Amino acid sequence: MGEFELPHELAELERQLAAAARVEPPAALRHRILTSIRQPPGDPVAGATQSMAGWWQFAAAAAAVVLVWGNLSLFGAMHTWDLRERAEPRNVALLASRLREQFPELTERQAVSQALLLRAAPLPHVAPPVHPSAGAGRSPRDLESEIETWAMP
Amino acid sequence: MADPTAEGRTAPWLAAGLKQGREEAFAAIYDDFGPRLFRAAIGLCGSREDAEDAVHDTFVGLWKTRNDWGRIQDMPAYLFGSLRHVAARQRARRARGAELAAAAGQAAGPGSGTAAELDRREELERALRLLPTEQREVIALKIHGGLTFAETAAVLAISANTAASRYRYGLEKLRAALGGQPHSSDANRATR
Repeated sequence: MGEFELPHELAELERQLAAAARVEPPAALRHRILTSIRQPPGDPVAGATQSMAGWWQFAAAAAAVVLVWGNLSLFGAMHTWDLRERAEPRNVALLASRLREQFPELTERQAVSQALLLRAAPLPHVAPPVHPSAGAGRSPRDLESEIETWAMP
Repeated sequence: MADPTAEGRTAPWLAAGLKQGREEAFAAIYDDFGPRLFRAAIGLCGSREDAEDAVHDTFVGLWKTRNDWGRIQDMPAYLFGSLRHVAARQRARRARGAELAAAAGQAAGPGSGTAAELDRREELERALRLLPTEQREVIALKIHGGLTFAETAAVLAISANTAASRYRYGLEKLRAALGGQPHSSDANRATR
């Protein structure tokens, strides 16, 4: 676009503005700019400080996560230790009494013996009660059927 | 190697030297554009101190981005555009710090000339600071920076006609602020 013609009074103002703008930058400005670009990019001290700050932030976050995880684990361990006991009593006397409830024919000694065996292994062992008449008058098939009933909870 | 201070240096030579990180190319660019940028910065910022800071930041920014320059197509547009952004940031900082009023009352600084010339210069600069930013930018780039309307329009990302309109309206407001009668067409004209 071509430069347009201004009215006389505006052209005069334009001339005055142009005359007033005839200033030169101070010589120190050139030196200041050239000095600035000679400096290495970024302040190494500030950079190192920022890097350290970033590392500490990461470390603090990691420590917080570990603390929360540890607290939750401890809480869980302290408040759920008896769940297994409820499902599968570790107390021999309690287990023996439950065995006797299920198998009234067991003597107290036999029930304790079975309870001890159950505690010793993760799976219940099937052990026929030792009885003086065990096997007497029974066929192996009868014994097998009887053992199957023992294994039933 | 070509003498960077020789006449007739071209923008591609300067751009290539700048990209290679050669200080003499950078200094040559400063010598070419520094004075014009400084004058434009006075018009944009309103004080010599701020103008110095703005020109400094503009050239340091040019140096920092030198690696991104494959080939500088329009060095003046880049430099004046960068100066404009730096000046805008300065104005925003001043506005946040409630220093605008203090800056408006502050003289641009001593210059050369008679007392009458200095008074007139100060008066013009003060009136210029009171113009709307859009008009002040056009006047600063056109008169102080020595750009054409087309170049000014490219820097401001507006059309050349809009740049010319803003220029004329700005001059009219300036004349009114300096005690002249406002132009008849200025009565109902908003900032454009």
